[in-house]
Amino acid sequence: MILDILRPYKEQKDFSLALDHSPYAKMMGFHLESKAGVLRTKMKFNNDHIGAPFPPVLHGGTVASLMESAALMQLIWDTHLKSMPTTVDINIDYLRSGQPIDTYARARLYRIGRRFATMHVEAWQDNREKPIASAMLHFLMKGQGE
Amino acid sequence: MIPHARRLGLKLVAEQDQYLIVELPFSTDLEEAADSGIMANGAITTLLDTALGAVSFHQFGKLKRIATLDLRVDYFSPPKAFSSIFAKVECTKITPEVIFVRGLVYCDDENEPIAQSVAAFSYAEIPLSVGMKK
Repeated sequence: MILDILRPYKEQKDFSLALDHSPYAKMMGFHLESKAGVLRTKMKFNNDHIGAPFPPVLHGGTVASLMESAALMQLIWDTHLKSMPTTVDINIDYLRSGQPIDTYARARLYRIGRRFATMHVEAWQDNREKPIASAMLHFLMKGQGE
Repeated sequence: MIPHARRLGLKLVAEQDQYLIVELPFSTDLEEAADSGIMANGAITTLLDTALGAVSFHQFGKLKRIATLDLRVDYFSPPKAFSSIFAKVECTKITPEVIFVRGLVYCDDENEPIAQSVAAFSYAEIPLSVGMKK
C-alpha cells in the first residue's frame, strides 16, 4: 500500500524520496523537493519529453503529468488520509510553450471537504513569475482520518 | 514521430474521416505503483493530448502550427490491469482560430469508457522562417 510506504517520510518531514516508488514517476524524471514543509516537484529534462522537434518544445502531456503528481503529493502531505485519493478530473491551461529544460510544479490545496479536495497547480521553468501552465484538479478521498 | 509519443509506445490503430484511435500499450515502466498493472493517469493524459493534437492536425490538408490551449480529462475509473488503453478522438468544431476536439478512453470495450476529454487547440500558418529553405 503506497500510503504505508509514504508515512515514514512524512513523519520525518522529508518527502523527497516519495515519488521514487512509482515506476512512471521514475521514467518521467519526477523528483520531489521538500524544504520546511513546502513541496516542489521537478521534472528533469530529457530528450524523450519533446513533443514537437522544430523548434524543440515539451510535450503537453509531460507538463500535465508533472502537475498531477505535484497535486497528489501535496494533498497527501497536507492531509491524514487512510487510503489513496483518486483523481476525478484535471483541467489544464497551457500558457507558454515548454522549453527543453527542467520544469517545476507547485500545488496548493484550494479547498478540502469531507470527500473532495480541490487543488491548484502551477508549472514554470526558469522564471517562477512566468508559468508555462496552470491546472485545477479534483480528488476524491475515501476514509479520511482526523 | 513525436519523441515522447514514441517513448510511451503510442500507436495509431485506426484513421477514419470522423475519428482517430490511438493505442497506449501496457508497459511496466508506466505503472503508477510497481507490480500493480495499472498505468499512471499521466500516461492516459499524455495519450489524450497526443491523440487530440493528432486529430486536430488531421483536419488540414497542409501543415499548420498547432498548440494546446486547454485540456480537460475526467477519470471515471482506473484502467484494467495489464491492458492496453485506447483513445478514440474526434473534432467537434473548427472556427477560424480554434479547433475543438473531444475523445473517450477505454480498455477493451468502447461502450465502457474509463475517461473522457475535451480540448481546444489554436492553429496558425507555419511561419516562412521555420522549416523552409532560404
